[in-house]
Amino acid sequence: MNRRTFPLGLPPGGIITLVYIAFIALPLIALFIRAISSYSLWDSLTSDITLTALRLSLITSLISMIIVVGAGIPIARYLSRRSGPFSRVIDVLIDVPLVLPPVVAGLAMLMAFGRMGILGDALDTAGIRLPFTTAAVILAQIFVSAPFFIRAAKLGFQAVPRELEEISQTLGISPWRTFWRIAVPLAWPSIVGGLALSWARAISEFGATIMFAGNLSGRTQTMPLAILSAMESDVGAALALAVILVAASLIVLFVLALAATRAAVPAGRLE
Amino acid sequence: MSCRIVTIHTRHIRYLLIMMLAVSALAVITAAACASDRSEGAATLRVFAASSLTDVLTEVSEVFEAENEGVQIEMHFAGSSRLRAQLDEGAVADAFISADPRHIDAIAHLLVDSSITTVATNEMVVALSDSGRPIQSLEDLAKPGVKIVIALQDVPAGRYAHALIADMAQQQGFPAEFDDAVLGNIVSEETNVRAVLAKVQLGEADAGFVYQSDIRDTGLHSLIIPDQNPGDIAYVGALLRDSSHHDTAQAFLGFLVSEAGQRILISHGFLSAEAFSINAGVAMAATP
Repeated sequence: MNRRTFPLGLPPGGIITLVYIAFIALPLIALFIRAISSYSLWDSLTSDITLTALRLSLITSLISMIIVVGAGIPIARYLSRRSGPFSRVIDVLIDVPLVLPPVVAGLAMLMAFGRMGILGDALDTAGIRLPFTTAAVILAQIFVSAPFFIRAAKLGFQAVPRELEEISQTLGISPWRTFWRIAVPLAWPSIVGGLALSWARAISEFGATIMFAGNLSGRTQTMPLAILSAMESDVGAALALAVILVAASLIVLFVLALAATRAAVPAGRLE
Repeated sequence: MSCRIVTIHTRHIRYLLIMMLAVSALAVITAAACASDRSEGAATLRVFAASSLTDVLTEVSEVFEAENEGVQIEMHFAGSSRLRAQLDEGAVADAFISADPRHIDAIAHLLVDSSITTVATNEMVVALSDSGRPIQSLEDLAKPGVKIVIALQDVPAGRYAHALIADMAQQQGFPAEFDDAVLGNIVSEETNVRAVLAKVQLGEADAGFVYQSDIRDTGLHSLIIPDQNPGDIAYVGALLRDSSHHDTAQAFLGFLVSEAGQRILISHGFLSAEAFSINAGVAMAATP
C-alpha cells in the first residue's frame, strides 16, 4: 500500500484529534495561567479550607472506590456470564445513574435514605442518620460512579476466552484460583480503566453530594463543593482549588494508566 | 492504474467531506451560541437577580413583557455573590439586582452609578420543617441535635443570618453561648437561600434561615426574628455599563419601583423599597 500524503502529514482523524485536544486543553491551560498569575495562589493552596476539602475528597473517593471495586468485580463477573432478556434489563438498570442528572440522583437518594425517605424511619430506629454526614458523601459517590466501573469490568471479563478458564479447571486448578490467575489478569486493563473513570466521576461528584449530604467544611464539603462555595466570595480561591483538583486528578489518572499497561503482562503468566 | 487514481480521488473527497463537516459543525455551534447570546431583533433584556427574587421577578417580568411589546426578559437567578463574580468575570447582562448592597458596591465600576436603586427590602425568619424535632422558640435553635441549614456566609442570606444570630446572643432571654450552640448545629451551608429553603421543605433540616418572602407560599411554619432594623436587608438594582439596552433596562428597574411593581413585590412578602431608596428619583423618572 502506498501512503497518501495529507496536509500537515496527518490523516483526517489526526487533524480532528488535534482540534479536539486543543478544545480540551485550552480551558485547562487558561485555568492554570489565571491561577498562577493570581497573587493569592499560595495562600489559597495552603489554606485550611483547601486542605480540609482535599483531604475529605481523597478519603471519601478512596473509600468509595474500595466499595465500588469490591462489589463491582463480582457483579461484573456475574453479568459477564449472563445473557438473555433478564440480564439486558439489569444492564440497563445499572446504567441508569449515568443518565440521571446528579441533582436528581441526590434527590432520589434523599427520597430513599433521607429522614422523610422510604427507609427513613427504619434507619432512624437503627440509629442511622445519613443526610449531612460523610457517609452520605460516600453513598452519593458510589451511586454515580459505580456504573463506570461495572460496565468496563464486565466488558473486560466478557473478552476472556471461556476455553482458557475451562482448560485451567480441567487441569485441576480451583475456580477461585482460575479467576484470579486468568480472568482478572486478562481483564486487568479494563478493570483499571474502569476504575480510573469511576474514580474521576467520584472525585468530581457535586450535584448529588450537595443535595444528599449538604455542604459543611470538614464533614461534607468535598473539593467541587469547596470550589463552588469559594466562588461566592473569592474567584482566586476557587481557581486555586480548581487547579489542585485538576492536578490531583491528572496524577491519579496517569498512575492508573501506567498500572493498566504495566501490571497486565507479568500477572498474566500462568504458573 | 485508473483504479488507483479513483481510490485517491474518493479518499480525497472523503477527507474534504470530513473536514467540511467538522468545520461546519463548529460554525453551526458557534452561530447558535452567538444567536442565543445576543439575538437582537426585539430587545432581549438579560437580568441577573438574587435567587430570593425568583418567583416575584418571574411575575414582574411577565407583566413588563405584556406591557412593553417586543421586549423579552431573560432572568438569571443565583446567589448574589455568584452573580457578582460572574459579572466581574465578564458575563453579559443588562441589569443586576442584588440581595445585598455590598455586591453592588463591589462591582460599582461595571455599573451605571445613577441607576443604583433600592427596589425592595426584606426580613429574615427561621423556617421550620413540618417533621423533625419540635422547635417552639428561637432559644430552641441552641438545643443539641437540632439540624440547622443556613446560606454560606458570603451569600447575603448567610451574612444576614450570621449577624442576627450574633445579635440574638447579646439579647436578654437567650442562653449564654447561644451563638456558638446555634452555629454548632449547622449541618449545611448552602450556596443560595432557595437551597436552604429546599432542605427545610424536604424535611431533612429542622430549621433554616431564610427571607420572610421565601416562605410566603410554602405553608411552612416560621419563627419571627424580632428587632430587625427595617431596611437592613435591601435589594438593590443597577444597570450594567456595557448593556446595549439602557433605556429598556432602566424602564424595567423603574417598573420595579413603580406602584404596580411594588404591589407585586409586596404581594410576594417583600417590604416596600420606598423609605430606604438610595436613588429612587432617577429610576422613577424613567418609569414608562
